[in-house]
Amino acid sequence: MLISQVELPVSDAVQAARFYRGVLGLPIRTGGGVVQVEVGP
Amino acid sequence: MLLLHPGPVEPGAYHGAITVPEDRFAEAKAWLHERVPLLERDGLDEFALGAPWNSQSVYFAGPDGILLELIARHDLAAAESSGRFSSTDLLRISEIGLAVPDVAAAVASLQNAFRLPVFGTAAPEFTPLGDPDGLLIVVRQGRPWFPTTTVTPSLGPLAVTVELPSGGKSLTLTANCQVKAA
Repeated sequence: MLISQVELPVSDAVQAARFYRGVLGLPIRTGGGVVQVEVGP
Repeated sequence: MLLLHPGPVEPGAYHGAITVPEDRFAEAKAWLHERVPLLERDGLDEFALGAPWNSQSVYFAGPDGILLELIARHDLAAAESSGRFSSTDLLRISEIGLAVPDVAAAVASLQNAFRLPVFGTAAPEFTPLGDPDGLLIVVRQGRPWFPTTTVTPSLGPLAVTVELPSGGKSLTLTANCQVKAA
């Protein structure tokens, strides 16, 4: 069973984007205040 | 995919795990440790589980205290990549925690909706559903997330989509937790 999407709130989307992109190096997309983090090739 | 939207964050922490190649755990741990502090318990910062998990894990905290885990599952295929470990070796979302007031009732609802198998043992406080590729970790509200002894699950909103042959179904597990099969 693959988990294809997990959606949850964050208090600070900018900080969250910085963590997932800057610390973990994951690709992200942003738009409308939403941060989309891609996990996996 | 992890979809994060600005909104009120309830007390407690979400939990998610990410699969790394089963033969690259040591490299994954070293790579992670260069970036964030690893969570410890009883002086240990890595944790191995026997069957059926057959895995090694390290844990760390993310935004809003989300309790994250890198997990190498030795029942999965070895790495197709070589060279220095990198974010491209973070393969997929492996686990997501679902906090519920009644684990047995939630598990019954999930099994009825999606025919998910119990992975290992069903227990009143902790029951994993799925397989090594992806697990829903159904836990009792208030039960601390391992390896902490104090960080309890968030009861905030959560929506999870899984890929199953029986797609097209949706289950409202709690007022704040929805599971969909695509």
